[in-house]
Amino acid sequence: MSAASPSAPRRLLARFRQDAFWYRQRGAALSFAILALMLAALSVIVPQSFYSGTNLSNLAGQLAPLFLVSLGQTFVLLGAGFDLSVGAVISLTSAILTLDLADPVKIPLAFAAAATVGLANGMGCVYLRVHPIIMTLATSSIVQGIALILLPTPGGVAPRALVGLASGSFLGLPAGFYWIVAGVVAAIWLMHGTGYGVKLYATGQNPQAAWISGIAAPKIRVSTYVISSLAAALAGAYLTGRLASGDPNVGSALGLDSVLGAALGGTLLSGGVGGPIGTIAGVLIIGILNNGLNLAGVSPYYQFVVKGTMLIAAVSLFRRREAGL
Amino acid sequence: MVAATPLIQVEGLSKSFGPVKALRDMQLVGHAGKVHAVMGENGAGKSTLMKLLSGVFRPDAGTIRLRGETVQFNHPSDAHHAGISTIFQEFSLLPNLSVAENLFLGRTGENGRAVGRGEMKARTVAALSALDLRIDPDRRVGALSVGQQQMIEIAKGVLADASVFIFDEPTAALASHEVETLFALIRRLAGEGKVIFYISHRLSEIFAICDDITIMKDGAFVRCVPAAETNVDEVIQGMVGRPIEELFEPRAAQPGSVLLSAKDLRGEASPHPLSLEIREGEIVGIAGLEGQGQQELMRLLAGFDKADGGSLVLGGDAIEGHSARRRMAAGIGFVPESRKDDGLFLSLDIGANMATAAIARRGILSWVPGMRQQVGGIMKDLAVKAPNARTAVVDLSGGNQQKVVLGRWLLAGARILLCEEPTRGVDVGAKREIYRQLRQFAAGGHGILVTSRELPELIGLCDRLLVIRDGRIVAEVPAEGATESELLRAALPAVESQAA
Repeated sequence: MSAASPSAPRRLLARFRQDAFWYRQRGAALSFAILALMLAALSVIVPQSFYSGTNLSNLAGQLAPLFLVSLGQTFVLLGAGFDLSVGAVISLTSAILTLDLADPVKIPLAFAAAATVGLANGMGCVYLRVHPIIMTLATSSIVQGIALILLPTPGGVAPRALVGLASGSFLGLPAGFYWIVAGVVAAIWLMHGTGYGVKLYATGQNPQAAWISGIAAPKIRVSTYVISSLAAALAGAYLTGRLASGDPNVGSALGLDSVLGAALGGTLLSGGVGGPIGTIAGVLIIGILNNGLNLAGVSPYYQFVVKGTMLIAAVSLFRRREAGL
Repeated sequence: MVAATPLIQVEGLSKSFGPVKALRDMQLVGHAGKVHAVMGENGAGKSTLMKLLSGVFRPDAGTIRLRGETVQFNHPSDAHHAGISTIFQEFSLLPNLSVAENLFLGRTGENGRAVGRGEMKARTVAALSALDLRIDPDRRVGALSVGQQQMIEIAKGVLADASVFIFDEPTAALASHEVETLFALIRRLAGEGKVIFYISHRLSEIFAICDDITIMKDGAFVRCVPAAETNVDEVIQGMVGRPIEELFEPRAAQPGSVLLSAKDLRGEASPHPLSLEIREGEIVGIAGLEGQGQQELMRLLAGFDKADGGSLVLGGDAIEGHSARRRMAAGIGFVPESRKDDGLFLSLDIGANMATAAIARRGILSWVPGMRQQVGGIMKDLAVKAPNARTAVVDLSGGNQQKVVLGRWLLAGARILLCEEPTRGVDVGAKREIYRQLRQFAAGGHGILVTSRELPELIGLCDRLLVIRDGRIVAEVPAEGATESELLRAALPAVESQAA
C-alpha cells in the first residue's frame, strides 16, 4: 500500500497547495517572505538608523493611515470591487472634523458622512451596475469637492480627544502603533473569525454562485464599500488628530496607495483570494521601502518609480493561474 | 395501480423574459424513488423549468407543490430549505473555498448562528462518507476533479437532507468511470425515496437510468411516459416533431473532379504526413476517438498550425505559403469548434461578423460594394432567425450563430469549408438546417471536410469518411452503408480492436 507514497516534504507541499486556506493566503506568505528579505537587507545596509527607536516609532506614526485604508481596501478587492474614493473620504473626514461645530456633533457626523459615501459607492456598483472604477472615481470627485467647499485651505481645530488619541505615546509605544493594532485585529477578526469572511470570499469569487448558495451577495458587496469608507474615516480622524488641524487634501495620495498595499499583500484584484493578513506585509513593504530609501539618502522622487514597479511585479507575481486577472 | 400522491407536482408553470415565453403552462410530476428525465431541444425551456424549481427565477404563473403543499421560492435558499437541491451544469461551487466551507455556505446551525469550524469539518466528513467519498474537508474545491466537484454538489444536497435532486446535464464534463460512480449514486438516492430529475441530451443515459421521461418542446409540455414503454425514436420525434432519418439531406449523386488535394502535409502538432482529397460536391467526414489528431489536421489545413512540409493544391493551383490568410484568400474557409472563442465577435452585429472574411482580403480602407445586399441575401438563404443584419450575434441561438459563421464563408466566396463539430451545442431543429446548408454548399461545386464526435451525424451527413487514429488516417469508407461499430473498430487502437 505504502510502496508509492511520496516523501513527507512533498506530501506537505501537495497538501499546502490543495488546502483552501493556504491557497487564499499564498500571496501573503510570499509578501512576508519579501518583507523578511527587506528587513534583513536593511539590517546590513543601515542597521543603526533603521532599527533605532525613534525611526521605528516615526514609522508607526506614518504608516497608521495607510494601514487603515489598505485594510479597508482589502475587503473591497476581495469582493472583486475597487475603491478609488478612499483618499477623498479621508480629506472629507478631515474637513468635517475641523468644522466650527461641537465635538459630539462633528465626530459622528464625519463617520456618518463616510458611511454614506461607502453606501453610495456600493449601491452604484452593485445595483446600478456602474463599473467600480468609474463609480468611485465619480464619488471621489464629488467628495473631494465637498471637502474643499467645507475647508478651502488647511486650518481649523481638531477635536481635543482625537489630538490626544493620535499623538504622543503610551507605555513607550507611539499612538499610531495602537491604531494599527486595532485595525489589524478588527480586520482579521472580521475576515477569519466570523461567518462574514467566507461569504466575502465566495462573493468575490463568483457572486452568482454565491447567490445560488443562499448568500446575499449584493449586500456583501455593498458592505465592503462601507467598510472601506469607514476605514478611510478612521485614517482621516487619525491624521486630523496627529496634525491637530484639518487639511482638505490630506488623503489625496492614499487612494492609490491603499490599492498598492492590499495588492502587494497578495490580494487579487479579481476577488476571492487574499486577505488582511497579507495586507500587513504589503503595507510594511511600502513603508519600509520609503523609509529605507530615505535613510539611504535616495531622492523621494525615486520612491514613486519604485512603488509603481513593485505594483506591476506584485500583480504579475500573484496573478491567478486558473483565470487571468 | 393507483398512483400515490406525488412528492413534487408542478402545474401551469409559466415564465417570460421580456417578449420571450420561455415556459408556458408547464407540468411535471415527481414520485418518490423515481428518476425522471426531462428532455427537449436546446431552448425548449428545461433550464428555465429547473431554475424555477430551484428558486433562481420566480414564476409568472403556476404552482409548485411539495407533498401536496404549495410552496413559493423567492430566493435559492428558499428552495434549499424546502429540500430541493440542484446540481447545476456550471457548478455553483466556489473554487477558492474548501470543501467544508462550500458545503456550509449560506447555512446556519440550529441556533441560527454560523456553524463552528470543528462542527463544520465533522459534519462534512459525515456527509461525504455517506456517499462513500473520502475527500479532505480542508481541500480547496478548485483542486478537485470535475467528477469530485460534482460529488461535492450532491453532498450539499445530502447535507441539507433534500428530497428532490435536480441534475442538469450532469455527465457533460465527466470521464466515463465518473459517470458510473454518478449513476450508482443516483440509483442510491432513488432507493432512499428521493425524487431525481435528470436533464440530459444523451439518450443512452436516459434509457439507462431513468424511470419516466417528460418531453418538452418550445417551452411547453409534450408528454410524460415511462421509459420502459417508449424508445429512442419516439422520444426524438416528440422533441423535434419528426423522425431522425429525416434530419439528413440526400447525398451527392456523383462527386466531381478533385477540388482540394493535400499531399504529405506535416506540421509541428501532426508529425505524420497526411494526404487527402476532397472532390467537388463532396462532404468528407473525419471520424475517430477524441484527440486522435482531428483538430490538428483541420488546423494544419486551415493554416493555423505551421506546416513543415507537403503540398496543398486547390482547384489545380498550388497554394504557396502556410499562413491562414493565404489559405483564406485562396478559398479555404475554417469553421472552428468553439464559435464563441474562435469564430465570432459576439458584440458585433450579424453583418459585421459575416463581412470579416470578405473584408480581410481587401486593403484597410477599401469599401466592399453591395455588402449589405449580399449579407441580406445570405441571411435569407440560410434562414438566420433575426430581425435584421444589425442584430448583435450574442443574442442569437447557437444554431443561428453557426449560420452566421457559414454565411461569412459564403460571402467570402470560399470553395472549401473546414468544419469542426458543426452542430455542437445546437438543438435538433437547427442541426437539420445546418445539414441542409452544408449539403447545399457542397452541391454548388464546393467541398467540405467535417469533424464530429457524433458518429451517426458523420454517417448521415457525409459522402465519404476517413478514420483517424494517432495522427494517421487509417481507413477510408463510403458513408453510405457505414455502421458505427465498423467505424469504431477502425478508430480503436489495434490491440484493443483485436481483443474486441
